[in-house]
Amino acid sequence: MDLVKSYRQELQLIRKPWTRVWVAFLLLMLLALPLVTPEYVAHTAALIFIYMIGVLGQNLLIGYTGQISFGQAGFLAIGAFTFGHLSRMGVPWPLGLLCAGIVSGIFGVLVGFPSLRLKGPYLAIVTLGFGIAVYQVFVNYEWLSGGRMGLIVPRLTPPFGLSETLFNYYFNFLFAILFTLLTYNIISSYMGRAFIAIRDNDIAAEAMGVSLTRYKLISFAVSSFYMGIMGGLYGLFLGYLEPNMFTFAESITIFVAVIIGGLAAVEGSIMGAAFVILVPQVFSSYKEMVPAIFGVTIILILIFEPMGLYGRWFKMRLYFRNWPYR
Amino acid sequence: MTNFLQYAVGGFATGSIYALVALGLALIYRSTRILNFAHGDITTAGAFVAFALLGIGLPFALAFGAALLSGALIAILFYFCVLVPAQRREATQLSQIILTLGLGLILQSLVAYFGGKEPQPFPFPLSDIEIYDVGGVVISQLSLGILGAALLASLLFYLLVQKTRLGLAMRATSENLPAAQTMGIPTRRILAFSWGMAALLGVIAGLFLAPLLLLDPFFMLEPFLKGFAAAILGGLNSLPGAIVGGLILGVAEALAGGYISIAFKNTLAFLIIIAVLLVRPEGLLGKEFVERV
Amino acid sequence: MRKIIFLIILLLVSIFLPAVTFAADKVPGVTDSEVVIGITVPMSGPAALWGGMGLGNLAWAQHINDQGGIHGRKIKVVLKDDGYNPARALANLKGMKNDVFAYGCVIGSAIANASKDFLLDSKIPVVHVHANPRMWVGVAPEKMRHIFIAYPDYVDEAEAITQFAVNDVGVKKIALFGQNDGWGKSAKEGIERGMKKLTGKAEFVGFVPYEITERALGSHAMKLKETGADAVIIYGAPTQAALILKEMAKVGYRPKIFTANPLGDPLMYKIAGKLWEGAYPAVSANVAIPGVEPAGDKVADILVKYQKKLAGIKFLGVTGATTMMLIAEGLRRAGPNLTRESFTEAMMGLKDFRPEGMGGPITFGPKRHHGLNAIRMAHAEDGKHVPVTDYIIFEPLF
Repeated sequence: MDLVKSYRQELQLIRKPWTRVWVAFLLLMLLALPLVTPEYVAHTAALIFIYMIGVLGQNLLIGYTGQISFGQAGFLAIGAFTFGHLSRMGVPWPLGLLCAGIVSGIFGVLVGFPSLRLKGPYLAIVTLGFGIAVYQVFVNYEWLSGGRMGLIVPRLTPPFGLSETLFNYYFNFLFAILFTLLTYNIISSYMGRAFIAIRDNDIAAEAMGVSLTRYKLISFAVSSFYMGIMGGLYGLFLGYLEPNMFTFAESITIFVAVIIGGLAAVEGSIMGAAFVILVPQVFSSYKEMVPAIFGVTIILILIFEPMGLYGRWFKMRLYFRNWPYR
Repeated sequence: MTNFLQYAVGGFATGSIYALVALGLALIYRSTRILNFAHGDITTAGAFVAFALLGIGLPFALAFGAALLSGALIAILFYFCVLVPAQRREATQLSQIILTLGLGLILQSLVAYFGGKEPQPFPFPLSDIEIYDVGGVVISQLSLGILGAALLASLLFYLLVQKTRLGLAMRATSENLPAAQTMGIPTRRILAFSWGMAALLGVIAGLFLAPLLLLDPFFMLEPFLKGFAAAILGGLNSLPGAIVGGLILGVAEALAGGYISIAFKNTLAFLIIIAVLLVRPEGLLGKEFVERV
Repeated sequence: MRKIIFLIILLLVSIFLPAVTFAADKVPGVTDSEVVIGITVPMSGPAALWGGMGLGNLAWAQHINDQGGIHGRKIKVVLKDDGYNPARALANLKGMKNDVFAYGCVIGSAIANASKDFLLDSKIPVVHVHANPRMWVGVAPEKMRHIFIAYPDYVDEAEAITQFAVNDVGVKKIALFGQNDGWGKSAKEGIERGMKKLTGKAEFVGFVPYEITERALGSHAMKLKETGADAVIIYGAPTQAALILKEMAKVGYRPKIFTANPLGDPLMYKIAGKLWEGAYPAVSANVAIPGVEPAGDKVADILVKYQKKLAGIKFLGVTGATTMMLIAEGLRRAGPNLTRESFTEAMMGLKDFRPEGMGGPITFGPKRHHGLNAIRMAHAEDGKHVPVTDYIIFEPLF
């Protein structure tokens, strides 16, 4: 829809001046949101920010590189417990968070190796196995999972006399912005282009000089790094960790978020994260019917918009840009 | 030695459960390249239909027949009302997988709402307590029945797919959809039939599993995941592969649990699968892309 | 297209609208005709069975309302589903914060732990948290004066079961079959502690864990058989307990069975059949046993009258309803002039209270918020759970 006239323009984060205004307006709204809404809105929003990071990472893997993974919960658990143990040892949180991402990323590389040989569902089952293995290791080794009472993660003391919820909101907001920008940068760098090339046609990519081995592994590492960071933030947010929080269901939630949001779309990941958190939360008084509502919304969205929420957003933007012409 | 045999036989019995589940998954994957995440939930729904009908005093044959039909009906409806419209809008493979997940969530919810969430004993013609003792190694009547059902079902399906015109059409549709359409095969009906058949297989599995595992809305959760793994181990597009994969997974799991560590039973099972896949990336009996880069 | 935008705006408004709260100095969740109690339980997902406790609360509240309510106020229960997910449960609790008078019935250790700080800081009365009570040990009594729990401790319970098994039934070797989480592992600690006190009269020969979703338990039964134990203590959900009994019977292994308190449910007879006969389940001291003690039957009948779905899970319903009975008693004692403070004071004044004449005596006080830490042992005879010990009351933990 846009005519990109130069490479510099292609690299620009925001191309239209009006878009700048909109984005600035949106950011201001988000900054003001927790001040005017009750506590639980800020709480839910903070949770969405945390999930956003993981979903963005998985979109890099699933959407951009085209590798299916069902092991997200495993990376999440590794990140969360790494962070939990480090912060209990008194390591400052920025360092702890970084380590959570890195440790998770290292495991990502390990899981990435089978991806060099396996494809589609066969890769999915390997990653699924990884998720289950991580869960069982945490369950069975109490020194890893913090004992049978679970791991209490010390929460940060909010500065400037902010309330806990308010602080959580801004803290995670910051990370969400940071990782959104990082993702935009990755996809417009050589690395991102290599990911897309691998997804579209791996043999052609290889022929063009993209090292499959290296970039598939990098993709796994980067996406697991994101998951690790999400894990750390999740631990910090809840203040408590136990292996039961990281089952297959968690992997599925993140997978659904990626697809519902829209493959290979950063804005899509944001919407996907919001979707998987908001739907069960908003309808939580419907008791047994919560999964049914969740399922129906998933089906409706994907029937009418196979590209996910991002597809709808894209078309809406196009409509307004061309208005009043059709 | 008796213990070893007992573990192996126990594993065999469990493995035949996985095999039955894997069959249905493999059938769907073969014809549509979709991983059906609703398989377990369709199965559960079918088992609950049978349970409700048995509850009002219908005989086994009638109740089970109705259960099989309702399972097939759900799948066919899903195909026509959800998958076809989605495919018309060019849904990707991944979004079709998520669609099945959506169906699974809905069924799970409805079953929990109407069927109740507490575990229920499921009446069945074969007994789970009645056992046959062969030289100190025991196997229950029900386990034998499951093994028999798995083998019989796969044999019948093998015949259906390989020896009939309908099977030929199914194979043609799964090999090359546009070509099959050109040849005048009603592919949409064939695919709907495949969905129905796969769900039917699933419900058969469910009817045998419910008396063994107790019936509640989540009783297929674990068997589904393991059946999924078994189907992939055997090679997702191979029906005999599903049986072989299921049996191997069951036995491997039982032996690993018995002799290495019961706490890491599931992990060990998956390690075996990963090891096998690294040697044969297309599964044991699968015939898919062979490619080196 | 316009329509869609309109719909989106409508959705956003509907999400944020409840947010507009009216600041007032009146007590949240209380009017002259109504008092609101907020409950979050798992009603979907694999832990959905426990949601029956929430329904029990709801049914008992309806019963009270039909009796005319308390001091002219009807009890309104807001029941939300958390799918056993701690983040969702916490959001539910925070979401209800300004609309409810008190919280009732929080279920699950992950959920309780994640909400702990919020529950402590919010100063909203909380009646009954169904999770490992050890998590509250070490919290200063003045900090948790609004929190009231009457749930038996797992470790104490397992120790008591062990002593009962060895001293009263005379078993020599005990194995544990348990859920691979905090629950099963607490049981292991309790058994070990019990063995130490029994000094060589019996031994603990092994722990066979299972995963929460696991149902193929053949190998587990073989493992248990290999330990050679003459008694197996089960710390698991009813489903797995019934399945392991079947599998053990298949391989010809029939040890004496002792179980944790959730298995005191008569449901066990229904799902395990004859194999359950002769087992020794522990029963939570909060409830009377339906079918044996009339008090339990009376409550169960009332509950089923209001919530048909509780028919199959009466025991769970009755267990849940005790929370509402405690809340109702607190409201009654707090008098017509209801504030959170007067309710807290009234609850702390409860002494030897037995809800509807069921269970052991519950006592709260300024320094005691663990109202009852007790179980009793029962024996499965002719389709009924007959109590064989008096209430075994342990020291309250906090």
